[in-house]
Amino acid sequence: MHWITLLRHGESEGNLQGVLQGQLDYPLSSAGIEQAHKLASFWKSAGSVFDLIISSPLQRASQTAEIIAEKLDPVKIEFDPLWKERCFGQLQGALLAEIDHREPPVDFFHPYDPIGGTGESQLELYARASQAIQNLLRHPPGSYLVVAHGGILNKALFVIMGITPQGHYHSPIFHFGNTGYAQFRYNSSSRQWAVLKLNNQVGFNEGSDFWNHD
Amino acid sequence: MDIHSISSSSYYITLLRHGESQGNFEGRHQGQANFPLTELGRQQTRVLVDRWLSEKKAFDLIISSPLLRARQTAEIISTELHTPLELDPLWMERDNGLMAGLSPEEVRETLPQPDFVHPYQPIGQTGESQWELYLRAGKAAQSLINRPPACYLIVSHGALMNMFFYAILGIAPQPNFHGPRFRFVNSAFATLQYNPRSHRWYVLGVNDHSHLLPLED
Repeated sequence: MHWITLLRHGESEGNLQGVLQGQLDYPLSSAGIEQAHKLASFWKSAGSVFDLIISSPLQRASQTAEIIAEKLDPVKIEFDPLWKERCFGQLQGALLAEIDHREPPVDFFHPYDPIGGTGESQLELYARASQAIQNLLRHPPGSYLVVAHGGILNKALFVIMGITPQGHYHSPIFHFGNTGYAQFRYNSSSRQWAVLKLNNQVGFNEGSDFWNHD
Repeated sequence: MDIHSISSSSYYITLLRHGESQGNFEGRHQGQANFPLTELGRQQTRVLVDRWLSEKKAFDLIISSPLLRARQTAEIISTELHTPLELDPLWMERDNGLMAGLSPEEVRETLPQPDFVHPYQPIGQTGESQWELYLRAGKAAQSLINRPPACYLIVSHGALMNMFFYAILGIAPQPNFHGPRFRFVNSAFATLQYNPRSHRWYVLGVNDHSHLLPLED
């Protein structure tokens, strides 16, 4: 069995400012640091054990991963750029409130459209998430923690569940609050996925950047 | 966004699995066999109500499967939260044919075990195929969206809730029970939002059962 926990980073300075971050590199805010510590303590007290932590190299994820690794029994962190957030092209750095203001923003967008002019299309993001899940399942059975971002985690869930990217707004969105996590069990002999939890959160309210924009 | 407030532009849907039933306790395949809640099942429902009261959660309407284990769960919540309750057979559990009420051993002894299960195959010889269940879940979703946007609590069952997720997420039934399986422990719920202007579903949480922590060990 593969036991897989997919975790979104704690609140970052970019979340705090309400910025669409994409691959821009913001550190955790003080609230984000606290969220990571809280989750780490919860997992420590619950006796959670991870054989390996895989993290996006972006600071808001890597700092979250390091705080957790420090608290739990010695566990290695592997940084993998496949788990980076979606590149949002020219939208990166824009204020979410300004983007939301344009709702409905465009008449139609298809899944091959690069977002923000030069960013990743939904299909490119889905392909990257497929590769990331594929690599994860090449590891031997065990317990894995992935620390990443709302956009890429959404597409990882599509891959796991067998949902195809669709045009316009027709794909569902899985909400992940800051340090919200999803848990799965993959049985490599029956090849079945069990969805154990989605957006589980420990003892605090949801972060400011609520929806994952795509 | 405050998902606890009653809002008019979106649908806020809480999808709840019933508390522990006598059939769950005895480890039986229930299907549409009618088992009542156990005392633990009632207790699970009461701690859930306490949690929702402390979170100031409110619903405009509760819609429940008429099967006893769901209806009893819904009635406790309806009374405590002073919320109207409707029964709708669309939200009933899968008809599992001759398996209804049997233990896994009894199923093994009395029913053939096919090597391959296609999604059109009636379960338990005479029950609903996965496609039939999926179509019923689609109808249930349709009937919900035919209502005005509001805060709805649905009280239903594990297999039907799984196909409801397939219907809204765009996952098709697959042979041999492939396809993801969404776990719901007794009295666990999922929270969803549907925006009718963009036709977008938001999955806010699945298998939330943190209210059960005080009941454990």
